[in-house]
Amino acid sequence: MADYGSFHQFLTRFVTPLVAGGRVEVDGLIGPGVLAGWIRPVDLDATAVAWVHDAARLRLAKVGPIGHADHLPPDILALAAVWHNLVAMTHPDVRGKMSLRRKVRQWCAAFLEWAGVPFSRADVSLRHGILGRLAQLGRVDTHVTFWAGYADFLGVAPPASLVALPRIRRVSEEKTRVGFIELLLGLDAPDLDDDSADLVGVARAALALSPLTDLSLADRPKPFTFAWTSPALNALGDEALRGAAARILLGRGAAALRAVEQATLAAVRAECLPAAAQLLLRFHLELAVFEGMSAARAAEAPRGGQPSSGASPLPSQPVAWDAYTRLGSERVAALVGLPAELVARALPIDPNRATPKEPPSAPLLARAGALETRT
Amino acid sequence: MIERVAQHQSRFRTPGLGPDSRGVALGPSGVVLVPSMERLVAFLRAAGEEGALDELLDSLRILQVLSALRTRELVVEVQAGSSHRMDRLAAIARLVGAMVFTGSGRHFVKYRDAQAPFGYDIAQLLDDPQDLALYHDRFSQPYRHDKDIALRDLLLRLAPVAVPRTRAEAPRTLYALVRTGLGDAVVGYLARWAVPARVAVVEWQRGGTSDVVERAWLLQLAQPAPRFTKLLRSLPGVRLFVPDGERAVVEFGHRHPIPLSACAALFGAEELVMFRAGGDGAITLPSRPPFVDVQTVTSLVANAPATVENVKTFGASGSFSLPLKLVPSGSPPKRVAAAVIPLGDQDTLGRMLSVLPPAMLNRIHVAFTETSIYLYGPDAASVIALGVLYEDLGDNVFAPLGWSLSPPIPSDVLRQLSRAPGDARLFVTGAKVPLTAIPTSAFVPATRVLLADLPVLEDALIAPPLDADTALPDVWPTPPGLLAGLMSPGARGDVPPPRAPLQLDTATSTGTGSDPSGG
Repeated sequence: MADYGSFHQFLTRFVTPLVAGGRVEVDGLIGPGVLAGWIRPVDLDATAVAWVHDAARLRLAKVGPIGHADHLPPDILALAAVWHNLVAMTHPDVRGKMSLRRKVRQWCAAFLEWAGVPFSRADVSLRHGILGRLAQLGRVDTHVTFWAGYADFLGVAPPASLVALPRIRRVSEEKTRVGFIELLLGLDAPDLDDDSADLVGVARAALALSPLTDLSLADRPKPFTFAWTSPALNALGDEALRGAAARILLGRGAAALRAVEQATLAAVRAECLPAAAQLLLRFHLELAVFEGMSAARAAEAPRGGQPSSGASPLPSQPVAWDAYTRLGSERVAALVGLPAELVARALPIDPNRATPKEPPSAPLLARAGALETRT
Repeated sequence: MIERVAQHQSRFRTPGLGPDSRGVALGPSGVVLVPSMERLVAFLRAAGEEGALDELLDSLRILQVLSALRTRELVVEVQAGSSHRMDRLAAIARLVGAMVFTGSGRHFVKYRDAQAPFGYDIAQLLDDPQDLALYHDRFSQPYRHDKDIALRDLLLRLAPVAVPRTRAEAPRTLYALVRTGLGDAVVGYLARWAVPARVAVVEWQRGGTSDVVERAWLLQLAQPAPRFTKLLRSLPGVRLFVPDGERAVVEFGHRHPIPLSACAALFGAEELVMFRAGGDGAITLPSRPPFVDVQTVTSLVANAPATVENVKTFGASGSFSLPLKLVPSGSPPKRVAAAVIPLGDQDTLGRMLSVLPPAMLNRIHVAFTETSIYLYGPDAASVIALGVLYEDLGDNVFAPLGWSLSPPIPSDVLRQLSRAPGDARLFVTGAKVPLTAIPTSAFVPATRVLLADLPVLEDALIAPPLDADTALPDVWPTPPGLLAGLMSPGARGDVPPPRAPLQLDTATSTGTGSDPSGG
């Protein structure tokens, strides 16, 4: 085995394909002792690093002007090493090996502790630039049947000798791509009582340290359900990162928007700070206005359907729509910093709408200290 | 008698002999001694085939000489020019058993051969050379001039010889010498078949002791079909000739012993010499006959009836009022160009049109009336197996396939009588009103009427998803082994101290961080 712990090997075999696509090699495990070598790498290949930078820059350019990527700090590599180990532990062969899970949890905790939370916009954007394609990561499993039986290959390609002479040997291949969330579900062991071997919490913590990546996977199922964390809320405080988060969520679709609203309500129920509630309220109102503007543009298109006056124009954001109708377009416009006329045109309020008995946005508005008004 | 010339020898006893650029002893003239007339003809024929005869014609003389023993021999005298020309001449002469000499005036010495590459010189001149003295390694003999023989006369006296039939087929131009009595018939026959032929009347003196002037028709046929050649050849009184060179023609199936194409300079520019076979001699026409097209001759010489005068004419004021009917036709069908299909078969017609090849469909035009669909397609209507197929009678008049008009009036007259607009297509349906006129403008391309109004869904565009243009990252896992906890890279070693916060120029520190749990 090559020295997989070296900076160059890890960069070219794991980080680069993770960013640019291709064969992401997960070879065994990586311990935190490699960090000492990664801080001052002796085998730094500037071309390989520049390649990663280019791919990350292109990715960041799609979510907004949130910074540039022109260097590769070791904390990102530490986070990438955590994901390397977690993905390695999704292999069925090591699922029940408790000692190995404990060791991995210990090593990942050391990596996460060393990487720490993102301090700045640059940290957040760089981490998302490198790890933003985790959602597309997958494993192609191949089920090969031949005249004498069958064989399964997880991730790796079947040997050429096995699939040779397909007509004579009656070889058929069936490829299945296992998505990232399904891979992560392999980390969960329901019959596990030992918390010291729990890797689900490690994965959640690793996701939390890259807030934009965390938001891009907001529609993930249990036990990885999205929840607001302090690094994510910290990132929302930055206007550029908030805009990027909004673009990422609107690009992910209705499921992600609903998941984020549920996470907001959960945070409010957990009695988060009023400032955090205000930040979340503003973020959701911005999301609502952005989505309303997109819907208005679609409605203006010829032959397009007219928006119905009775139904909510934002079925994917019931909390935000309810908060908007309660606050009114002018107040929301002042809150999100947009012209009131634009907001009113993007989200027209039907005066004859029915008032819900239990307004979904009530806890959020109350926690944020916003007065309820009727328009 | 003669001696070999050495290399670089410059002094010779033979008058006029001198070395040329190659050192060959060469005089200004060359002489070929031919023992008989047959050999002479063979020599001229070989020279003509080889292509050397036309070069020699300007200086060629044929002399008949008498030897001391009173034997007649023939001498061909030419300008030597160069040793190259003489070499070719010597090769031809050796072929026919003649001897070649070179020299000037009256003394001629043997031309070079393999034994003397630089030629020969006379060792001692004859005391009495008479008119011509020839010096050979086997003899030295004086000759007396008997008479000159003109090459043109020789050519005219020679009779063509027959050639194998396969070499004389399909001539590009054919001349036919037709006796006067046959002229009208042959010319009329050719005119009726529209053969590209021209005709002239030629006259010539029979020659010899007779003063009779013979007269005949001379036909010139350009690339005649083999059947005309065969027919004319089989007619008694018709002689066929094929050109040999620009100014001479030889009887068809024969060849002149000497290639006449190499002897064009011997005939006048306007002259036409016709070599007849069978010992009839050649006909020399002093000027080329004024050929005219056979069609014009036919109309001029045809026996037209005498013009009837004082006949009164009346306008066609009356009519027989016969009904226009369709009767079964026994004539072969013409081109199907249209079809009339009942309106009830509209759906079937649409399905048939929809499976036609695009090129064929593009050629079909249809017009709808209250009862029928009129389909027009000169090359495509025949594939529609519906309704009644119509064939084109001309002038945009169509009749049902297998039927003809009764009375059989031409299509232009029918169109004139119908008084239909000029741009209408007339269909003779044979119904109570026998003619149906459909304006041409009513016909529209079938491709236009195959489909009704097409609903269009204008799909809304959305932005492409992120990373749609990038390859997917695929995990290629190697599961950790049993000792991975001990043997993995970085399994041992200390973790470095925590890093410092990263600050970039464009990055600003975020401000409102707070813990949702209040931490």
